[in-house]
Amino acid sequence: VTDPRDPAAPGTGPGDAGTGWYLYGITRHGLEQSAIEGPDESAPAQVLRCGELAAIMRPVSLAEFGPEALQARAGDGGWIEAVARSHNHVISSIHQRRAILPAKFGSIYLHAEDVLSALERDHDALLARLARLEGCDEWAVHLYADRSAVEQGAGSADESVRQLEQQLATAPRGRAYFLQRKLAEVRASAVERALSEIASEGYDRLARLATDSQIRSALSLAENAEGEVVALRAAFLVRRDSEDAFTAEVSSFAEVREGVRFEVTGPWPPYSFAAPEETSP
Amino acid sequence: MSNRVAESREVTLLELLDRVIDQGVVLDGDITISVADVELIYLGLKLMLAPVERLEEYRMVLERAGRRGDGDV
Repeated sequence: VTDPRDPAAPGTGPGDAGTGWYLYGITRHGLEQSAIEGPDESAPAQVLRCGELAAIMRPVSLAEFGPEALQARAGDGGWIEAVARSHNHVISSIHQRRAILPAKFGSIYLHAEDVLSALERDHDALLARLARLEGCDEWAVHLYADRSAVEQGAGSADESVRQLEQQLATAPRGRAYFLQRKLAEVRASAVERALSEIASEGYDRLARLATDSQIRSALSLAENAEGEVVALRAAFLVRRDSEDAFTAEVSSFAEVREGVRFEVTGPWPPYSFAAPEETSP
Repeated sequence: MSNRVAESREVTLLELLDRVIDQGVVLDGDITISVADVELIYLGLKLMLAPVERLEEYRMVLERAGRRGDGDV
């Protein structure tokens, strides 16, 4: 076993001015270097060990990944998409074999030693987080609701909407105008309430089948071109042996609700569950 | 209503960028670009890619990036 801090070990010495270390993620020690796919044959990713942990890193030119270069490319969607896909590809190839804590994009270090000392310092906590992710995938869920379908349902279910509608049917003109406005208000809040209920019920039901879950954004009232609102965006950490139950729950929830559908993407490496519990800023 | 297990490229790309660029673990160390710089890249991308309905989110990302802007290495 080679000590990665041995100055003779490849790439752990102080990088020259033009080189940085691109960190993909952290995994348990024992990963074969050949198991990592991509991204670049000429400068392949390396496995640098620290105790029971290993960092997956690759030397990169700061001409491509330095601050100036990145700022210049901040508006280059094509380049960033390619880099993001490549980042995901490397991490996914590892994720298929063992748990990985994916690094946030842009974790480019001047010295590999910095990463190794961070691994040493947080060794046990990182190991515990990896253990929690073992055998799990992340699933991304969008919950869409057709606003007019929800409005019909909410309108007929809401007592105050019904009462106002009845009064309106027989009201004289002046009063009708007032009732009309009142009805619009009450209807809008009934719809919002119904959408929030759909979102929180959907989230709760999926969260029950997940090891961990995270709301990425709640109800947004703006409609898309199809007249739908995004009721919920959420991420779920799901054990592979619960995956069938999870996807079945997604389908059955949408089936019984008029105007509601899910979009699901996955399985992802556990990007949203890699960082420690957020401490409020 | 039918449920689509989606593979719409746009949703997948947005989810990818949300994850790769906005999430993930950060280790202390001598990082060549600041977290705030990455947030700004993320913001620029989302503005290009995403529908108007999410402008509120970008504003929050921008505020976060601004708030972190001073101290980050």
